[in-house]
Amino acid sequence: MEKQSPRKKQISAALVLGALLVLVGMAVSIGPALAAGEDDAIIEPKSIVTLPWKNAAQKPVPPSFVLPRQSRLGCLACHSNTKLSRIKDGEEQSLFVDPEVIGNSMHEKIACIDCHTNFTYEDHPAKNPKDYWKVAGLACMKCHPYQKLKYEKSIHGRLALEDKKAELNGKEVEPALCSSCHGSHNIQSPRFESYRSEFRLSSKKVCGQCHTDRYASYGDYYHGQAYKNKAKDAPTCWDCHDNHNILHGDDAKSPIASPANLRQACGKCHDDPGESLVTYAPLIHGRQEALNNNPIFRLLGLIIPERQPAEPEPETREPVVQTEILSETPEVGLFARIIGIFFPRSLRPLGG
Amino acid sequence: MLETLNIWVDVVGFVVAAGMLFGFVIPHFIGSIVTGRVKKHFVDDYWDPLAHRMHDPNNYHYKQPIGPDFAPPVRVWHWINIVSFIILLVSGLYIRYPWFEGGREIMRMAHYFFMYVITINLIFRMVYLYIAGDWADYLKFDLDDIKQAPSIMKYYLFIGPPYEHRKKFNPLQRPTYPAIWALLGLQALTGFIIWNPAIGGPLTSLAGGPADLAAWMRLLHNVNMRILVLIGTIHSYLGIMEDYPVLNVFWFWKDPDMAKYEHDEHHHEEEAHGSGLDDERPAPVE
Repeated sequence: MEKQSPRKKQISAALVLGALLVLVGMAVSIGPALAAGEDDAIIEPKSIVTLPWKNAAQKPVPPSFVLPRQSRLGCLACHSNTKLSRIKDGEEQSLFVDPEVIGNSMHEKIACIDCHTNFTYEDHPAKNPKDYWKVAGLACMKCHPYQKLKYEKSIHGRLALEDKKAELNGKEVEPALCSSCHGSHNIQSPRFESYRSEFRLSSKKVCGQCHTDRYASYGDYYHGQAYKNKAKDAPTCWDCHDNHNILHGDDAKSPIASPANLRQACGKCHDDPGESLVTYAPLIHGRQEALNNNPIFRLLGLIIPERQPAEPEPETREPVVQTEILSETPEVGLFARIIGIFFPRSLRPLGG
Repeated sequence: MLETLNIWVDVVGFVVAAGMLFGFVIPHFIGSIVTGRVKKHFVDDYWDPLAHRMHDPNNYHYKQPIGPDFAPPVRVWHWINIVSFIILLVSGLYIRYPWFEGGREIMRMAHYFFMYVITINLIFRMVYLYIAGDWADYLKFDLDDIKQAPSIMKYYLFIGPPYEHRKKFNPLQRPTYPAIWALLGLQALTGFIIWNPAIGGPLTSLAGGPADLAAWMRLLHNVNMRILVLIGTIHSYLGIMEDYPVLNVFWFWKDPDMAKYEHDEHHHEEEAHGSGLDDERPAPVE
């Protein structure tokens, strides 16, 4: 056998290496395509999802077929697919969960099943989606006991925990769960000033998604007018009505139930309010009505069209806004800092 | 009670503002067109010398430019007042009735900054009143003033000839300025009490607490603002319509062309004859 020259050996080695590289390249490029093919077999866009662990007869497959539950990877194997959806009441409903959103949330390090505590492969999708949604919506109470104690006594919490519906504007609605106000996968921490500011300005979605009439009338008075025009120092709903321990307005313990309670509620912002100041309270949601009842205004109504109290916007039920954490401390300009010296602290620009 | 007053202030404030606009400014402007005053003043550029202090042989303005009437500090003071007043009005209305997003911080800062400016300006004017000694131009009244007042009213109601300017300001105009100073002082005081109710002293317990005092002061601040706007609007309207040459001097250091009025008697006769405005002739000097 003819001995190969070193030159030929080098060429052969280069060819083998080249072939290997080509194979690796093909594997890298074709692999995902094959994987996508597999995905397509499982999840068909705009169609009902066929789950891999259930056979055609919808019987659970042996427990040997499971994806890891203790991290998010198992769930995200399917739910990170933007096309994942289901048909509910004749409408397509996305089941996509953005991994980036969870990664940026305060709960980036907890597993899906920490909130979706009743998840099982055998019952997924859940036979009773409402329960599944409710368990996750209330799972916050596991780790937030202080808020739990308050929520349990609130009108929202009592109805939710007793599995009752709330009656609102003549309609029966689901009572607010933790997630109804705070969001779910996108949850942020109020420790961040940027998020706190943004959350304060999101009461249209937090409270207004159900209390549409109250949110609409909040623009009557200048508290609400300023709030709706994004004034950072204007009171939001829960500044007066309280948050986790919110009570029905007729409840004697509600902060708006009596002048004595109102003095405390108004006192959060106004320095030691007396009896006169709290007489403004009815105007906060009812100024337009009071204006319409004014005799001169009624007379004017004969000349110019009378303005009716604001109509509530259609119920939106949008999720709570996803926010980006901009910075931990607000930025205050040099000019604002200098000018701020001449004004009382409460009137200085944000953070000044 | 506050909540009732809150509604009434808005309703009455709207009615009075609309009344001022549709009951005085617009009708008076139409009246000025119909009686030929607009044409005489702004088309023919003729201002009755006696009524506009340009040819009055009985006082020190005789054949003198009007300029020296208004010392530079007073002119600058007035400019600062105009700018501050407009900014305070716009920012104050925004604070009370916010109409666009995100303006809260800047409007409040502007309001508090110009609060200082206009207050210092007012204090300066009071000091200058003493230094320059022009207090008599604003605060001194005599029997002659009372006698002349009806003729001024008649002129503004289009039922009398132009009145004669005998002093720096006419008897109806004169008390208006001290009134504006007093109202500005009240506005500053109520504003500072809203800013810090502790300034209110014994008023705090009378109102029922610091927040209550601030609420009452806010109401008074609102009412006072409306009165100032009313006076300011009438002052501006009449200043332009009836005293433009003086306003020109006061604002832009631009004295009227006095040579134009050298043969005033002849000019006036022609005007009166040509336009049938015999009744528009100034009343003779008594």
